[in-house]
Amino acid sequence: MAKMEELIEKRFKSVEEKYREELDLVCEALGKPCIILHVQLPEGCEEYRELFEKLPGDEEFMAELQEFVREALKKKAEKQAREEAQS
Amino acid sequence: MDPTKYLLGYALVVLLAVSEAFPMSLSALIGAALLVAFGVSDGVISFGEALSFVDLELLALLVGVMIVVEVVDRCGTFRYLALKVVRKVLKRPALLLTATGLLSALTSLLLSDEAALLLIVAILLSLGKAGGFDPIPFAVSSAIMVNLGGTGTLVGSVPNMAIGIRAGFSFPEFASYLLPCEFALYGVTLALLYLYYRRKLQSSGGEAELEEIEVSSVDVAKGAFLLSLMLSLLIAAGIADFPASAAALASAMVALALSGFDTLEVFQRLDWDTVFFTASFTVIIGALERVEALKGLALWLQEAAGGSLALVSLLVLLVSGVASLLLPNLIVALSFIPVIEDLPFADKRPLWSSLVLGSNLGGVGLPVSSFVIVMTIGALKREGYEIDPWAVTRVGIPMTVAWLAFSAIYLLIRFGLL
Repeated sequence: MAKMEELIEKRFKSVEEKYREELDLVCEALGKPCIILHVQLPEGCEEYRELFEKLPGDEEFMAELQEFVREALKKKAEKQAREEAQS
Repeated sequence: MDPTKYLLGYALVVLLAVSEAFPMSLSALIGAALLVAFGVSDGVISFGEALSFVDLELLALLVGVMIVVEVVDRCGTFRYLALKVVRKVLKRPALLLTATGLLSALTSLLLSDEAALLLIVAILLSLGKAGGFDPIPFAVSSAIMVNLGGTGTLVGSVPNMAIGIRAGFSFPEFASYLLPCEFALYGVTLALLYLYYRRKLQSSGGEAELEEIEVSSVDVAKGAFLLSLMLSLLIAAGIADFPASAAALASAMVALALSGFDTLEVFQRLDWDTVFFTASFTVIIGALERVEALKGLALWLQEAAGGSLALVSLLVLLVSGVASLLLPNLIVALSFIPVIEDLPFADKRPLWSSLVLGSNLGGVGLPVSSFVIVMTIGALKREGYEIDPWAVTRVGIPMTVAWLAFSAIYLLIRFGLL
């Protein structure tokens, strides 16, 4: 079973980039532009690898991430506006 | 001439390709070099002859179709159509299963299996929340339908191109033998998938209505035009008794000239592994033919069937179908071509059709043999869905058996072998 999962993982990696591109194109076509980020497992979290790999499908985590992005965008926009006003 | 060492060389290539020790193209290049070295040292093949084993017509058809498919894929025509259809039936699970299944099969009939599957799975995983459904049954069903999708046309899959060219089938002739079977199998497969997944096909309501689709209508129209042009040229070439490869290359030139895409970028994205594998493997098969290494299999098929065309056709279907469960279907198709050529029947149309059906339909039984299944499981896992690889096998194996049984009946009726 573990061997099978390894094999699938190895073979999927060869098309993963194309899959991400397609996902991006579909999101854009649906009027929901998205960005693709590669997030590495943080140092010291090696024992949580399994949990880490499940994060993209974790609705609670994705909602928190969405909120984080919203806040980050607001801060960036405010900072940009302040800088423009100063200059 | 004792063909044992040539057969061992062939077995080595198959082993290297299946174990993925090297990319498929490199495995085949190693095998081709080995068999040509044997042939030259035994004085049965010269290097020049070995090069002539490369089937240039097949490569021209393959590369021409790959270029058109890449350009059409970039135009987003299928993405637009698929999104339009899926949005309409998003909250009706049974209709969604039928729509995504048909879209998968029809897209892979015209685009590559890989492009078709990535598109449908990306749409299903993007819209899963909006539709409030579990994408697993839909994604697995799509993978199964994609595997079925390329069966009915000369350009539907690489094995089809190889078989069609050696059989001398034009595009319309190929479709007349196999497309009715493929369309009938769509109905059988969708009915079986619905029966298997019916309890899991539930929508929990999902989010509000989706926004309009934002794609360039010029690109969508361009893609539709280029695809229609290729199909028209392939049909015209068949009627005028002109090589399908010429039609494919002409379509590729027009596609590159009209699309406005960077030609070198398009070239970079072609599946060169398959191109080099096909070229090298045809050299291996040419060497095996030269030392009559595959004659034994032809003789066995003939004797086992007692010389009956109907029984040999069914045996070819069964053996190539089972072999495709374990091996890449291109290896199965290329290996069986000389076997069929060696069979002493005047009308070989049922045999070629059996090989097309067997080598195409066997590929979905096991995750190891089916790249579309691997892609589906990989994509689902990336999005955090738990899926047992063997759960796909539990659908794939019975489906393969049903397909082969249906195809056997179809062949007997279509070619009047009863």
